[in-house]
Amino acid sequence: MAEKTSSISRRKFIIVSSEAIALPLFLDLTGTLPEARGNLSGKIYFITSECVGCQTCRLFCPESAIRFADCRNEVMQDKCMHCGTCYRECPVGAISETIV
Amino acid sequence: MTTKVIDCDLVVLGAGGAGLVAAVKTADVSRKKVIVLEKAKKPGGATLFAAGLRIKDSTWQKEAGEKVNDPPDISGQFFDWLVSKGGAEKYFYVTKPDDPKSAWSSIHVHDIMDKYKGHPQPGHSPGWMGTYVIDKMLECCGKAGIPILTETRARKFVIDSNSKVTGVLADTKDGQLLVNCKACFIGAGGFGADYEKCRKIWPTEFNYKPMLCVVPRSITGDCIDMAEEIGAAIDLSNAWFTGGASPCHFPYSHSVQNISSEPDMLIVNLNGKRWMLTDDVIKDIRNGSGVNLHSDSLANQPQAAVYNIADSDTVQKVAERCIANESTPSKLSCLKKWREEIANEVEMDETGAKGNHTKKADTLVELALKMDIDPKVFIETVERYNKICENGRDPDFGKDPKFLVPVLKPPFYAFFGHRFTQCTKGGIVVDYDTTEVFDKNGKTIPGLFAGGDGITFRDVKRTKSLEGLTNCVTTGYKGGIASAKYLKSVS
Repeated sequence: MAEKTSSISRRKFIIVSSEAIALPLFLDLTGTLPEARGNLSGKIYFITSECVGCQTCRLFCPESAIRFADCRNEVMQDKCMHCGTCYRECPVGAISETIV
Repeated sequence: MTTKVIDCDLVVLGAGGAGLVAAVKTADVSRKKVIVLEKAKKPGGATLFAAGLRIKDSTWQKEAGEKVNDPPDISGQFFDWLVSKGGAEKYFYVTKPDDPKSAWSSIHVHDIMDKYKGHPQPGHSPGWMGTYVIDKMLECCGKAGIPILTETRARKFVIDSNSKVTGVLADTKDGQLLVNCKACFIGAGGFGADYEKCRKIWPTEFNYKPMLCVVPRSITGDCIDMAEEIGAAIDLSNAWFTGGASPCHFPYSHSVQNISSEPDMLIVNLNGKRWMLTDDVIKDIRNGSGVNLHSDSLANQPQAAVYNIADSDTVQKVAERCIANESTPSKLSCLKKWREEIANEVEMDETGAKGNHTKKADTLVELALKMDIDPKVFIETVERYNKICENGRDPDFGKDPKFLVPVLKPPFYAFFGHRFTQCTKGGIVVDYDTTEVFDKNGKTIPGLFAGGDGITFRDVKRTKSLEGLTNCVTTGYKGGIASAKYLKSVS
């Protein structure tokens, strides 16, 4: 399981559209990740192309799970605790919430 | 498709600075029913990122001993009104006018708002003046019972036979919404997020698609098109855009931009070569005001991107100059951040910050490799430049001798930057005093007002020094007063 988790984390989530990545992410995560990562909320978060790169999500993320890459921010899925803080604090509403 | 219908007196398009101020002011003055439509998921728009506000004739300035006019300028009236909403004392201070002859001084936030303390991007982040205005207006909307419908995109004006606006048709998540209204205020901003529109107007400057656009993606100028559809006059002949291309900018790092735009540095493109800067830029360098690579200078370089090269002596010198000249909290926090970034360059790469804007290396070859530039070409450029510095004259590109500083002492630094777009200014033709929208025959369209970025005044030229937040809130304020008056006259 550890192997599987790390392989997910290396996936690049710089984001084209929410629809484009939601499906593969969902398939990868089902049955393994929510439990393993303590994903009690059952929600996953990723940053869409609406991102203006202001990095406010990085300020508020309690797990430092957001990094700044290629002109965008991205959620590092292996560190994310699915608390939804970034989703609430993003000033432009660029973070998408998907229920797993 | 289901169409929901709601009725109100004033519908405001856009929940940014201009729209919210207009909505709250109208409700304040007239107690009429106001509804705000916002296309994005959250209110705020581009105003959220605005930092400073220029004000004339406010009570605070009077108390500070500045000469004020009677009656006060609209900006002063706005600020007094904003202060009357409470809480301003905690955040703001008045700076002295830049020019002693001018009565315009800037209102700044003391420091970034508590909520945003420790922001990784001080200077260009939410938490300054614009955010304060938005937060305050949202609070006022809550108190006044003004609904803000997000994810509701206005699509079309409904007009009657006298071309009076009687409603707005909007798309929502679940269907259509028809808002019947007596008046409408357009506060939907410019079109900075629409590359094709920008390219059409500024073909040279938008030669390359910017790698990023720092304006919220919702700012696409929809309402300018909508207004044009019902016959409003549009004037983009004097329109301009902000953003341009600073060497390093948000979201890379505003702090880096602030410092690395110093003219002492060697500017190279992604091929590792210097290029001919335009007159504007040369003038900037001569004035020592920092290199702002706007206009077509950078637009025609590969990927419209740039590296500013400096050695450790220059970095030190720039930092010292920054401390000596600047005292605003935002600039000093930028300097602090910049120093951290220089120190942590390697570490940042290891934690995954790919595309990091600051490169540091002990040799020029290593630096070139980090920048992904052919080391041979890069070293040739640097050697040629150092020779020029030695001679104190730049026959190649005519750089001012004052800023010919050689790149000699390791470690060497490279600061990446590229073009970005921000806001555009200009659009719907409106009256300066009342913000009423004119049609193509020069008559006002009854009940239609507009403010914010996406407008052009009919008789008054928009001055660049009073742009941004000042224009946005004052037009919103004027629009609020005018639409309240209009609503009174029709009811």
